[in-house]
Amino acid sequence: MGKVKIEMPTQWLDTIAGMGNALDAAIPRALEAGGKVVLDRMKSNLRAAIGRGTKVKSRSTGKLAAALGVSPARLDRDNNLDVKVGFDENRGDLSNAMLANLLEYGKHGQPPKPFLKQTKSSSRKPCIDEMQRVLKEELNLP
Amino acid sequence: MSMLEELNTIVASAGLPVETGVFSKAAPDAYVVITPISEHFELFADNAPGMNIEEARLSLFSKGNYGPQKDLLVRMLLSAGFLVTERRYGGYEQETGYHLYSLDVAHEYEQEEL
Repeated sequence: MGKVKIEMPTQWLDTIAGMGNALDAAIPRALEAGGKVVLDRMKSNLRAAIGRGTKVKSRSTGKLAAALGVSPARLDRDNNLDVKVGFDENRGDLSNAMLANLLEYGKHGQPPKPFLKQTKSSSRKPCIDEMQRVLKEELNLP
Repeated sequence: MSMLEELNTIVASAGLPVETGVFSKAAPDAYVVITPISEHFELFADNAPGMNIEEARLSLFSKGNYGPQKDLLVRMLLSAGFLVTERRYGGYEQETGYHLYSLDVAHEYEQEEL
């Protein structure tokens, strides 16, 4: 499955770099707020993609859309905090990532429905704006 | 010329049958489907957008060696001023015999007054 990264602008990060403990508490909240923006867009794009333009009546069970979620803020292997928006994998018979991949890229006889790429393009700016808004609120910045 | 018109012209001149959205004819051994992805405004001035950035995905389906077709498409797209944002091999479909290769492209156009 494709991977998309949205990062805060470096200039903005430099202005808040020296704020110590308050920053440590504020960053996870900002990331979770940003993750929620991406999740909402992705959910709406995914729902629009599922079952659209199928040759036979859609047999969608709703499991893929229900498996979409956002993780809590955690440290990654490079010690950077991040949240991940993606699919839970407890479907059993098939992998959700594989189904999402089929929808995103299509196959012969099934046109692609690029919901992930659309999410990246449309949620990048609102996600950064929301993370900045929450950080400003948490750190009492103007 | 719109981005879709430009893409259709480029792919057709690379010698590949092409359609937008879905390939409706009987599928040949190699063909391309263009899927529009998004359009967004950038560079605002006087409360009006100055540029429109359009994105699309080219899905190349090929039963044979897709390498030369992919290279030719990338070369032609770059020389026409497109930004190639992703190139990805999608796998070999055993039941149909097609390889899938996806190319994501973006192009900025000056926004005419709305």
